[in-house]
Amino acid sequence: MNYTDEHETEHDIKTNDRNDILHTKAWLTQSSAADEDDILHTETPASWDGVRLDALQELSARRKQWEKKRESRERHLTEVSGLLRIRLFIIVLFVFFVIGLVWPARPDTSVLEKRKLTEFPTFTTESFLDGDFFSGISTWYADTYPLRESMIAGFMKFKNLYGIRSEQLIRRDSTAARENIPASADESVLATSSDASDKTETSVSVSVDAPQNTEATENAGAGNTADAGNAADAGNTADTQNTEDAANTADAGNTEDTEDTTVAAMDLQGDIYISGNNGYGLYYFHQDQADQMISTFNQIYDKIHDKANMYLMIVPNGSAVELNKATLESLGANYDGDAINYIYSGLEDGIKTIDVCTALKDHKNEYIYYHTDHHWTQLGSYYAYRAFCSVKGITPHELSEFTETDYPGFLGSYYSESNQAPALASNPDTVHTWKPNGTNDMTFVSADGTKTNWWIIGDVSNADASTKYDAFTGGDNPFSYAHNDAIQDGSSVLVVKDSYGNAFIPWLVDHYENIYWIDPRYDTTDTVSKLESEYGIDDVIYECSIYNGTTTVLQDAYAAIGQ
Amino acid sequence: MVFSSLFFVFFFLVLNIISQVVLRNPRHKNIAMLIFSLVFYAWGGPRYLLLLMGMAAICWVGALRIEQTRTKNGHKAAMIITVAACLAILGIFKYTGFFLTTFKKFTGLPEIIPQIALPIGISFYTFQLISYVVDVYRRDTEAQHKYWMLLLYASLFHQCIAGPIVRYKDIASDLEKRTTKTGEISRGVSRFAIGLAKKALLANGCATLADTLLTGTAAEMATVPATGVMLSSLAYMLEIYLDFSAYSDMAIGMGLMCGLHYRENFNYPYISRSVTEFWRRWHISLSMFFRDYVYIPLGGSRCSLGRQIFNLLVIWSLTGLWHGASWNFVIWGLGYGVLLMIERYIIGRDRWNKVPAAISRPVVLLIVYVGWIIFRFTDRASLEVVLKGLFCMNGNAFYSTSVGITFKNYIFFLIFCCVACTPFGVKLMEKIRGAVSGKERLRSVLAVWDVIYPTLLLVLSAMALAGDSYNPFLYFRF
Repeated sequence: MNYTDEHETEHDIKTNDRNDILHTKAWLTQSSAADEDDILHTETPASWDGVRLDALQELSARRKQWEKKRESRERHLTEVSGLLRIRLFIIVLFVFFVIGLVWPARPDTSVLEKRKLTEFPTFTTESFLDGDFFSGISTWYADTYPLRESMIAGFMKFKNLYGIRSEQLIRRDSTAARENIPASADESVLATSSDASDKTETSVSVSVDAPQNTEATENAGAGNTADAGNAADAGNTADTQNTEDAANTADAGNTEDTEDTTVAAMDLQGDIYISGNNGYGLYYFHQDQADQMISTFNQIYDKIHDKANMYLMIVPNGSAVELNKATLESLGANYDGDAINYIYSGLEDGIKTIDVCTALKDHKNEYIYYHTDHHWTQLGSYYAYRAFCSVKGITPHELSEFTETDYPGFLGSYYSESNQAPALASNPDTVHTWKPNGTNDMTFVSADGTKTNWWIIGDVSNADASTKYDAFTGGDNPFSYAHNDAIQDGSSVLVVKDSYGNAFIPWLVDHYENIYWIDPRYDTTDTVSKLESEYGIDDVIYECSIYNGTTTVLQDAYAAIGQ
Repeated sequence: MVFSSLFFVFFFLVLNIISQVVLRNPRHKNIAMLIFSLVFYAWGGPRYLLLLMGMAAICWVGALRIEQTRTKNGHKAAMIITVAACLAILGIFKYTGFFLTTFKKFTGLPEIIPQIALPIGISFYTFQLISYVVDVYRRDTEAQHKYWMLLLYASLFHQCIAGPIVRYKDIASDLEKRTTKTGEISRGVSRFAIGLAKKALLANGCATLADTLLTGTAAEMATVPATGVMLSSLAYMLEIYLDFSAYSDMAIGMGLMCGLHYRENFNYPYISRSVTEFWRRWHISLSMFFRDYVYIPLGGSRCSLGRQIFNLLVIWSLTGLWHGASWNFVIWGLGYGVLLMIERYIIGRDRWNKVPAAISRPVVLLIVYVGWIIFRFTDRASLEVVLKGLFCMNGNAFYSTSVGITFKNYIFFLIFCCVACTPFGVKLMEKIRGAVSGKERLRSVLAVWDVIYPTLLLVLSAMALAGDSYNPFLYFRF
């Protein structure tokens, strides 16, 4: 486009020249159809006889002059617009340059994306030589650019012009491929699962070598074929990671942000499907993972069944509850309900499973999952609680017995993971909360051991739009507990949970004197052994979302808890 | 460093522009330009900077030698030695692995194939330097006596890593004099902005589309429905033109901004009516290089038919190999060679030119489309799976909802990209300009548009780059 304007003017000039010559010729041969041009009109000679040749020449000269003027005016105009174009471009470029120079305005974390942003690379001779240092600078520059998030949000709005975006698929899981889910874990599967359990035991024994480090198991377990040496290596890596994580947490300092942001983001895996203004997480079944999960929970059961009741609830994605199986399969994903049934079918009979999926499906038209976040709402967890009560054989409390507080303006993980999809921005969630009646006080213990008093249902009206789910139990923490004075029977429950559990804990408060909950994604081995020996737990409830449950990361963490 | 990054646009380029504005003396401008270019190149690993500098030194000495020995008839030997040295370096760094792997297939030897990392842009700057040496030999240009000036030519960040292949004789006088005119700077600004937007908005968008639909191992790709394979290949076809021509646009634009004139590298290849025409419009600087430095010296088309065919096969296997050290590139290149021969010797150019455009254009597009599929997959298993996948021969479905959703999500974008591959936009602007000339008010609207559109594109591209989740660099193989 750019070079046409000049071509164009050239073209103009040429035609003008040609016209000029033609006109002059016309005049000389006394063609009456001279021109409509004003200047020439006024000087049109009355009759050919009285006109001398030199007058004609003068006329043509004038005309040429006038044309020249017009040309120069045009040139001037292009010159001016060219100059303006350059200036405007350079000024805007310079503004961006200056913004990029404002070091203090560069953020180190993204609350929205729940991650620590790229740090400025540290200089080493090696990283300098292989170019990592330089590419690190480029990444750091772009990742911490002060206007980054608003620029992304703006661009996503622009992208609405790309096509019909009533439905969207956001690919996050590159290995997403659907496997068929067997109806139940039959004997052949169990055989393989016991095979898998052997391997888990190997990896567990490695974790004993590397104490205080649940994530060591995770890595060792991930590579089932890993020999001891490799596993030890994995342990080392995990070790550094852990230290870093701890440092991150310490950095965050602020009480509300003590959760480890990298861990919290782990909850949401897989692709996101956006239909209208609602986001849904898609689940892909992997049989080896599911089988390993079965063996993990069976092992845990073997260890604790003589000490406490073991409950297990696997929470499906909102997509499994709100969309139908055919839709999910047409999207190339699996139906979580089948996966959960498969896992349940392989468990020891003594494990009390809670069929959350069915319980939620009965209320699929209610507000039980957020539209912009992968979590269930507290209402969703309420129906899971009722299902738990019926398994346990107690009477659930009615919703009307609790006080409700609402926190509007929540834009959760689907929003940030879709790079701020405008469809979701237009449909923010409201976090409805119901406070327990017995007590709303709790204490959480951070990764560094500090205890903080907090609220089971906290006030998030001023929290960032992306963190409002932290209304429940103050977000994820390694270990938390609450004491309900209204109950004096010494009853205790331990919930081993991921972030879905946060919305579930409040319902348990009015049924137990002591409520403990731990997040196995943190190093909690010490806590668990203490809990078993010192507090006398009656019920252990394992809660995990389908994704976390079938991810080796969490399975091994759960396995470690079972020790 | 790549052009399409916030760091380049808002830091490196700004500093570069400042240096070129502040420094008045052409010599100082060139020194600054050299420093910027070396830093730019070093960004991908300073190690390879030595290689670039070394190769420039060889050619610098070689060319001087050619000049000195001209009277004594030793200049041909000097030229051959210099060019051979350049080709040897290129061969070692780019083709060792390829040749040894192929060799091993037949002989089982050697046991270990050394892994040599490909220095970025090596194919571009080697060819530039070779063209310089040969041009000095042919007396098309004088040898550059200052080493650093030759290094500046070879390392100039505008074109060092992704083309176009600029000839020394084309910019030698520009490098010495460096006159800048407002009109040219203004054209440069818009050309750069168009290039940046083409890359950041269009090419990256196509890349996302191409790679989300079709990715992973051969086994994983076997399950992709046929429509997914087709759509992904279409997106790839668009991506590769938009991306590559965007880099050339940015190079030409930045050149204009500081008084360096590079030749056009692309001329709407996807509107070609024959394969011959396609290669006259696609990556022109490369085709011209092979024509001037390989094909014509071999005798070109002024020799016996057998020799002509041999020449063409040589040219096209080299063209293929230049794009990457892998057999699929050779097949891709030779395929084009064969098609060209069919066009020239069997159908006959005149006869093919009489075929209506409504038929010849789609035929050429289809050939190019299949060509890019071969170009895309370096391993045979993947290529087979993808080619079969087009016809549901992997037992894959024809259609899936997710392909449908993706298509709908990008439908207007795809149409826009297709149009962007044609001169439609330029023609439309010409029409508009013709229509508004004489109408003062409309003219001023157009003038305002002319002033602001490069900046609009810049801001939009910056927004797109901020998300930067997908910003591939395609030329690492070249």
